[in-house]
Amino acid sequence: MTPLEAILATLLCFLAAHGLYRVSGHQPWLQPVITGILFMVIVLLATDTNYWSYFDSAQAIHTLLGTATVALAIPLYECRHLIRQHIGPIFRTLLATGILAIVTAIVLAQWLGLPDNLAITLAPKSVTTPFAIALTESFGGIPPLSAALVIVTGMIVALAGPGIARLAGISNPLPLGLAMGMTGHGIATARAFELSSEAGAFSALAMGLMGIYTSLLLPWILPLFGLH
Amino acid sequence: MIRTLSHIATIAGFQWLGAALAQHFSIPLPGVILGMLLFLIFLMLAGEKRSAPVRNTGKQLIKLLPLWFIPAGAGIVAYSHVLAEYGWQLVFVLLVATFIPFVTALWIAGGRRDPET
Repeated sequence: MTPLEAILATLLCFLAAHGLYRVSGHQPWLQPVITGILFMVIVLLATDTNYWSYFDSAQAIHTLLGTATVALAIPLYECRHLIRQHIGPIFRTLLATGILAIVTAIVLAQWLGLPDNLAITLAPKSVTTPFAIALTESFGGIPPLSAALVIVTGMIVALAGPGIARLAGISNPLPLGLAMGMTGHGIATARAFELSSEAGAFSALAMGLMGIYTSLLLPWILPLFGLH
Repeated sequence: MIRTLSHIATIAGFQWLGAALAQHFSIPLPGVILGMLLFLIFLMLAGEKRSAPVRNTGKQLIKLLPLWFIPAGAGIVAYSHVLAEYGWQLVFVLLVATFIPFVTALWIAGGRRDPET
């Protein structure tokens, strides 16, 4: 596949995904993150193109994923006042949830006998996709699988999270937003914004902090389980 | 357009710096994440007003994340055998290892039952 073909196909898949999302009236299961990838998979299968040949030619777009990841400092910077106002509950929650999200995934993966590279891929499942891709890349997991697992995790939280909170009798935007953002990253954050703008802001902040915290924890936690 | 390009170059500069520092000092952190932390420090030093233009451009990049994901995400086709072999185990891990931290986060951040409900 030539670079032009790869970039053109990627752009068309994105535009089609975006168009479908708008026409559907923003249905959560038709999010462009999911459908864009799905369309590209269909194009690769239909044209019988080798994935790695496509990936090599689409390097320019993949590089900009890294640039957009660096830009995630911006929403974090913009909700810094929330950190100052609620520093206690935010950091208590982050400390426990971050470790728990990683350790439960690794323990369950090893208990079910999954190979090491899958356990490593599952470990950062609660962080935003670009972070998870970067982390699995550097620790020996499977980056594309990581993208899929992270997206499914986000959908689980977006769909079930608000109901679980209601059952627990919690409607305060602080715990709701923190729980959604720390476990379900951007996809759950989009859902949290639908519930209230306050819950959404807490969720966006929680997702950024969770990404940083997980990145700092993984190099220490993985060796404890004989990974990496 | 030229301004926009200079903002993208700024952000990409931090991306490069993060990768270079992580490699040079063998920091066990992905280069882009180190780059993000450096960019965050840059924003704090620049302040609300001066950083506004680069933040506006950066937000456009973030809005297009579903586009940037496509090359990496489509790689799932190269690993369909993994999904076929370990599909249900992966789903089980995702469900349980998401539910436990979610409830913990609600419990720690919520503390008590919400009096307003």
